[in-house]
Amino acid sequence: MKIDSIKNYPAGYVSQTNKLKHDYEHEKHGAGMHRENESVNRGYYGSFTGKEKAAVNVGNNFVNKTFRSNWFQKLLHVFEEKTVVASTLVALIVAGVARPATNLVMAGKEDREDSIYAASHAISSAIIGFIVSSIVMAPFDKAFRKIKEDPKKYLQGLEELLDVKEIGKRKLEKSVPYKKISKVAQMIPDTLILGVPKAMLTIALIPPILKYVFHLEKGKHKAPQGPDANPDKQKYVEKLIKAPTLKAFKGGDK
Amino acid sequence: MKVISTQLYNQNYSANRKSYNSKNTTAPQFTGKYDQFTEWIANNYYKRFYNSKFAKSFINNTKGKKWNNMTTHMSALGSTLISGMYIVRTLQNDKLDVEKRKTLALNDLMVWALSTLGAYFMDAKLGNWWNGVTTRFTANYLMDNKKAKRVRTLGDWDPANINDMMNNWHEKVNARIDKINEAIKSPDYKGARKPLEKVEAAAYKNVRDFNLDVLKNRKLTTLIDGMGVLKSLFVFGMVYRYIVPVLVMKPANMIGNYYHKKQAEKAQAAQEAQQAK
Repeated sequence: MKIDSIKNYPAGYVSQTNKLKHDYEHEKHGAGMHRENESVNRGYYGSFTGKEKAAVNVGNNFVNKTFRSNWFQKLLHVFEEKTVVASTLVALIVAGVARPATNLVMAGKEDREDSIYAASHAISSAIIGFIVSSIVMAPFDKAFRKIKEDPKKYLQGLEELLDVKEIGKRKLEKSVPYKKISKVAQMIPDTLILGVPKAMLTIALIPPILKYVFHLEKGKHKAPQGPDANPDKQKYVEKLIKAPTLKAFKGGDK
Repeated sequence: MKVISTQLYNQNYSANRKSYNSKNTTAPQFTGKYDQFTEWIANNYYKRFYNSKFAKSFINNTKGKKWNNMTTHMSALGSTLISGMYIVRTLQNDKLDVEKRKTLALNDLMVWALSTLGAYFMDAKLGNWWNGVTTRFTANYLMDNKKAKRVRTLGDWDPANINDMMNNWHEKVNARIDKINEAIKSPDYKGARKPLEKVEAAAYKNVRDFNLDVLKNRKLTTLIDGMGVLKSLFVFGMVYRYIVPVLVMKPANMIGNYYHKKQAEKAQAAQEAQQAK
């Protein structure tokens, strides 16, 4: 808007600017605001150096293109609103892709087969963890979104505890206690309540995944153990096969 | 000229999203029951949780800034519980002899301690750098979302200069207020006559607070919070599941095996020497 056209300024603009002033003053004196030396930091991120900072890079490079992409912004949405699912997604990337890949690269010839089995196990475990968490946590995440979108309905009467003058979406965004306790509420179902059943389900589902997806079965990837693995017995069998009596023997229908 | 406030924009955004979600409903009956179920969770889990004695005690006992990033603490708690479970199971394993059990349990404990300390250390060390990354993300977001820049109040500013705006936004606002107050004095002006008060100077230390107080874009708040969670989950995930198990434990095991081999060779040599005597 060109400020030169101020003569024709509607009242709306004035009230809008007044609103900014009003909001800012309210926040300054209201709850959740920690103001020191005319600077504002509610304490979520790193410390302020006070130095003049250079212009931010918003050029057309890979990082900035990623930041502007829809998929990245959707991903950030998942990280904030579906934190448990996001943590299993991280596990899927780190423990299901990066770790098995590194282990396979680092594996020697003698333990290659074991590494392949371990990698398949890790990938299965990470995939199951992600799928199970996504399914189990979906209703919890939707319920949390309801709290976030309509806090008056669910959190009425908690003004003092959450350090806000009144319960409202915007007011709660600035409340540090609300932010903290919400993250606990979001993550507790997975950490304390569903953690063990989820782990048991994952353990139960790993063998069929290994069998039908990776065609691997527990124990079969290893060299035979027990009496069959006895080198003396193997040598005896080899000797027996090479024996002239056995060579002379011709089986089958004549 | 119609003024669209950020609040109104966000209301429209969420209304559009709701209507989009409802349009995509394929099985209304299932959706209804699912919605009832989520409502039940909201009332019987979340509402009760916020009203619980635990929540009250938790909030009262975690007032320091070190408690602000709960994602890290919950990640550490989850890993502590799992590691604790492994340690207990190892100590109760009858198939192993007592010494072996103790060694393995101690090994688990050391891995947990190393991972937890390492994760907290890395998370703290990356704090300032990530603050810059989050600012860069916000600038990029504002490049594509002009309404979020609050042009009507702050003027058409370049998001590349967001750091400057975080420190000097009040100057821009006050300059505009001065011009409006000048305009109000004009006999031709037909709007409200009450002069505007200037806003106080305040520099913002991080982009989240700047957005909360000045830009007031709810979607951007969620995305900025998501950036914080992304960092913490990746740091903890990398340390617990990759750096310690692969880059620390594997070389440590190799060194341990080498040491044990050398010790066994020494012991055998000593035994042979004793037999020779």
